Amino acid sequence: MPFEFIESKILFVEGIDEINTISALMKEREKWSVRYNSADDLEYEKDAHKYCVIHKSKEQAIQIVALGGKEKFNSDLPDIKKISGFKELINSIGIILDADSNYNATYESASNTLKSCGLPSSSNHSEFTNSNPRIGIFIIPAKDKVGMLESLCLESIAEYPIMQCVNNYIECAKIKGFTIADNKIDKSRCQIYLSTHKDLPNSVGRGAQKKCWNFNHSCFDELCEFIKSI
Amino acid sequence: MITDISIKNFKGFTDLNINGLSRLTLIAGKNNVGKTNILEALYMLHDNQAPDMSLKHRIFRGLPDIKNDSQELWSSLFYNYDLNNTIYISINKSTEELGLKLKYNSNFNPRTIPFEPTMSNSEHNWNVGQTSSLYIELIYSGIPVQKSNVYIVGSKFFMNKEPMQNELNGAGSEDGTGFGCGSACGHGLIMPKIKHVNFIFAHSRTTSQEVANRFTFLDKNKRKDELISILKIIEPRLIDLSLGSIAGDTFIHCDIEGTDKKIPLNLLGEGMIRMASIVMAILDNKDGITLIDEIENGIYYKTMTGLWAGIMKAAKKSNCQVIATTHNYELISSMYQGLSNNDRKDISYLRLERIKDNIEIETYDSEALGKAINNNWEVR
Repeated sequence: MPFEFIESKILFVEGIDEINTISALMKEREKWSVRYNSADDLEYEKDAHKYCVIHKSKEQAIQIVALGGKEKFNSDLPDIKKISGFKELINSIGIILDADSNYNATYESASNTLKSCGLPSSSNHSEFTNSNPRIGIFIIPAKDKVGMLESLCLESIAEYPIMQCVNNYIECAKIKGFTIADNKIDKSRCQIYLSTHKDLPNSVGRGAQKKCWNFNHSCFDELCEFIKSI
Repeated sequence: MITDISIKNFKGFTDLNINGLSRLTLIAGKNNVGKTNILEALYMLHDNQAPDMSLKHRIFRGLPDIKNDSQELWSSLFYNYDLNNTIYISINKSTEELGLKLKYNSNFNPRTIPFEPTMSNSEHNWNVGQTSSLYIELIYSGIPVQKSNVYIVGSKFFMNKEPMQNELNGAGSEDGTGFGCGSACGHGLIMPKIKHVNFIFAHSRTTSQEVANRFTFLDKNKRKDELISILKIIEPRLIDLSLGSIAGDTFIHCDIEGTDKKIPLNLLGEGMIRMASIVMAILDNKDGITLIDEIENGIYYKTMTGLWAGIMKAAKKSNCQVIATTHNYELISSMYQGLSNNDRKDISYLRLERIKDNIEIETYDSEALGKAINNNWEVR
């Protein structure tokens, strides 16, 4: 079946990891239900435009759509606007992107993409415009911070004893001459942490499905509020 | 070539502007958004010399003839059935190439009283002073070139043309620039050369006789080979076509590779007849416009790719513009997938959407359509 918009509230995210993590977050923490578009779990190959629907009620249902990367958001939004249902159905849009190494650049780039497509953009992080559709941008891990989804999830378990071992592993590897790029270090820490779990989940999203992250941690508060306000 | 269309107060449209039309334009959208209305508006615009043009949209849809109720007949053309509106249909706004204005006239007095010996008594009782008309104004290059009133007496349509200022001044042109009147108007009026429009409607079953007639025309003009080369894209085993008689009726017969006898085209299926009919209608319409409603009807999805290649080839050969409607995703994707990169430059795809109370258009050029099809995005 071709991909189409089926809900009036849409959350654009970068990939399948975000879909799996956010759906697990809302299920575990807010007791929302999750409906996937095909199998019980989303495949990790060709992740552009896979989606799931999270819902608390019929009125509060959000279609989470994976764009296939931050660059795809910028390049594809003009064409995504043409997909059936966009104009007819959608009244609220949330956008979640990784800050990576530059929070301001990411926010500004997303804002410019929206404007170039004739869509409004709020000047403040996680705030929604008073337009139709309403649009809000949330940069992960949080306002004015650098990092990615893995950074946010790792923050939720920073106090776990196992993290001492993970950090020691990274330090030991560096001492032994292995190079781990600063902008990838949270991905490495995430993989090391997940490798200590029984089912060996191999990504942050699969880890979320296996309850590896502490979704009740306050670091997820702002993200949860943003999602609920879509 | 029509590149844009503007439609005001016609049927379900208050003010619709469509841009980005190409040699091959496909229009889709949910039920009751007005896909067929666009074709009807274009047909009416080009059929402006036919007194019964206001009736044909009903025939296309298989509705009953209601000539005896002109108010009902005409109101069905107007947005919201409101006869106080003015319909305006035009194409190519940059040059204001062709426009048609329609207004209801509740108190029309024709200059001449129609009389024919064949009229019935009730038709003779017609009261001249109490009739209504459909006022029609034809605009060419931004200038009104013909004003007329159509009225109905009994079961007959009559068209009264008003003298135009340039006609009164004796400025009628026959200079071969395309403004010459020719036989279409017959009254020395300055008239544009109107393109011929074919309308293949959704609910008609193409008769074997119609197909045979079109084939005869093409064959007489030594264009049979063009037709065969196009139909071979759809049916590669086709060798030749000829006319043959079965029980007194004429049918196209196909010489198919690997068979001992020629086979009537009908035996290849309803889809093959429709495809042959579409291709012949395009080949037979040089420099014209062919409108096809619900083009997918009767056509198996796996042959759609070949159909588009055939349609494009025929359209280019005849310099004919094709505008079609569909509901079918396979047909939309096959339009992109079935054509070469070069031919894709000549396609566009439009989707009509109802946004609140308005109809809006989403336009896809070839690149946008390709991206949507390759990503498996819903475009209908």
